Amino acid sequence: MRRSYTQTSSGEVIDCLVYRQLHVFMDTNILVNIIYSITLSRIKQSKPPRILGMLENKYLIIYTDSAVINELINKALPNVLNSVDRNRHGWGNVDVHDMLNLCHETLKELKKKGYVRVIEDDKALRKQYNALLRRRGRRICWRDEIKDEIKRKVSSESLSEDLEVLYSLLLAYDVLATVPRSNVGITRGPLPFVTDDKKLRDFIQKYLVCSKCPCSELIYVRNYEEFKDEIKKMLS
Amino acid sequence: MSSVIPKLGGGQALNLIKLIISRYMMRYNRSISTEVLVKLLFLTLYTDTDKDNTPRLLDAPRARLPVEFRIYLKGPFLPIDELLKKLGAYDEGIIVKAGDKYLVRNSPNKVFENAYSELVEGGLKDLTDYAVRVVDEYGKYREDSLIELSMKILRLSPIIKAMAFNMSLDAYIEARRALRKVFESNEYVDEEELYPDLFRRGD
Repeated sequence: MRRSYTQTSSGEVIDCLVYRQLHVFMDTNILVNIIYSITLSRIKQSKPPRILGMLENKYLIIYTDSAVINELINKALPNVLNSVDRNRHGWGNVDVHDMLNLCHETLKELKKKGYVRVIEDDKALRKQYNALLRRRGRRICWRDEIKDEIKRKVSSESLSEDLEVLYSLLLAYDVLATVPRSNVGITRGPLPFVTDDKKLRDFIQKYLVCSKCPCSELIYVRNYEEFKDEIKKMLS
Repeated sequence: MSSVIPKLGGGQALNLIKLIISRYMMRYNRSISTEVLVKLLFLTLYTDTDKDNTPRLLDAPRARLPVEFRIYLKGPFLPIDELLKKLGAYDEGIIVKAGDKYLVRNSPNKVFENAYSELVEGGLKDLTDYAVRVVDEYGKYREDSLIELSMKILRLSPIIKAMAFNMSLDAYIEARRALRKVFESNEYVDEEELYPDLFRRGD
């Protein structure tokens, strides 16, 4: 990522952030599988998953949120490790607890290398994030009234456990998909969100991608297979 | 391969923009909208046409402007007003901005001739001739069609456009090249095919 500075006629210096990489916001259910499959390839010393290759050449960054990371470590990872067929996946001889530690190491490494970035902690996004914290007027989706509305809706749809992830999505929208511009205010772009959670996807399509929402029709949700297919099409 | 891409100086960039605006006015007898101007600049710098006249993306641009293209909601985007200010175009007074449109104040033919000869003298004949071809061929397209065409050339489906939003166009082209290598390589396996029980469809 790179910043360029432009001075407007009024003398105000505008800080424009221009991405140098493709970026995508990913849900816990995807990230956990990516981490697990990378760890597995290392244990088995087999070919690494293609997603690792995509991250290694630094033209794709996976963004996530601390809520997603917390859910991943405390819930999703133990769930996956306890539910997969260990023998079929080729790690029947490895203790689940050891596997958990190895997966933690993989996650740490991906974060350290900047392949997976937490929105609130990312240095390149710090200015955007701070502006959102300090100036409420800068917020598009990550606003109290929208959060309150979502809170009401999730309880009626029995999706309360996803509330934090939905809040993260609102924050991700404002950090990743909006660009403040000197004379035209804030440009609203689209945010890509990848999740394999059908219920969450339906909820977003129904309530976040609505005409009343400020980010109306600008959060694009795909499952992992669709995400990979779209990248293949891009390369054709 | 990126070693030979010329970076246009201020005067050359300004002449290229003058050339496009004046040629457009000569051909279509009207001022040019910001969107159309940006898309014609994109087509000029980043594409070539096959024999059947279909434009295709070049591996590297013919030249670079002093300000870089980015990807926005309507495809390739260039802050053209900022660029013109930076190049001193409004002080010079030949290019005039009227609302969302641009025109040249003097006779378009004269502006065109001057811009053309100066660009050619600067060793940019191929680029200049291609720019003229682009205006003649695609200037007649409607704004929407030009947006659609540029998205198609760049393979910007909605989700890819979201992934590339506010990304440098040159970086996007580099990314495609780098990712293509990863997808062609048999050093990797597709995780969703290896573990279909994990990466199951979300529907």
